[in-house]
Amino acid sequence: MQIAVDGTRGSASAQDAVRRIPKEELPPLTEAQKKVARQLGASEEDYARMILANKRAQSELLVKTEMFARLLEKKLRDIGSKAKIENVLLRTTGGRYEVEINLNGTIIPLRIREEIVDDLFEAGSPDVEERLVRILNSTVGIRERQ
Amino acid sequence: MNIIEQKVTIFLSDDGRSALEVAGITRETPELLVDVEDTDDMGVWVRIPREEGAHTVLIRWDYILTIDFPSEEKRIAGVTS
Repeated sequence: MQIAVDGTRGSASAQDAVRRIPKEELPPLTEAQKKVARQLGASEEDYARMILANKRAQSELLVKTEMFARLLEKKLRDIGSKAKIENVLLRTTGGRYEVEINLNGTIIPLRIREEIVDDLFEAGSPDVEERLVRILNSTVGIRERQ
Repeated sequence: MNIIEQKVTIFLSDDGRSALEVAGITRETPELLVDVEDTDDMGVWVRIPREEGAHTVLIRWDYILTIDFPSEEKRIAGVTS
């Protein structure tokens, strides 16, 4: 199974973590990055921290995407499906997961809004898992029962 | 586009720079590097360091020419099922 995150998003925890890195341990900027830093009114140190914070935030989103992928895998097993998840991509600008599920060699594409998943991961909303099962039953399930 | 909790560069209009001057924040050039705390209909709420500590400042959308920050390419990871 492959997971991916397209883009990144602001993250206070990533900013805090990067802020604590000593200046000497920041990765050096390329000449192109130095030029852009000047254009953005950022010191080289600030720009290096910006880039690191973005990468760290993306790592956080990758972890979240993996958690969602594993949840979806479990839900597929719960409904008795033999389908397998091939790819899960989080599109940060669209706020949605793009999922590809392999059912007997046929790829079924699904789009699931990120806010639905966040309702579970951040607020413990009890009906999210039911909604995911409903999505899987009405897409993969219908095809599997044909 | 969600820029909350992101460090970005805001390029201010001339009116924007004048507005910040009223608040005692002087800019010789249009670019302003800030931490975004929130956004709403009025504009961008940013954290700006002042002499005695950080302040939260509203920069109205009308005063912003553009916003720029580095983005990340797609990152892929393989995980075992």
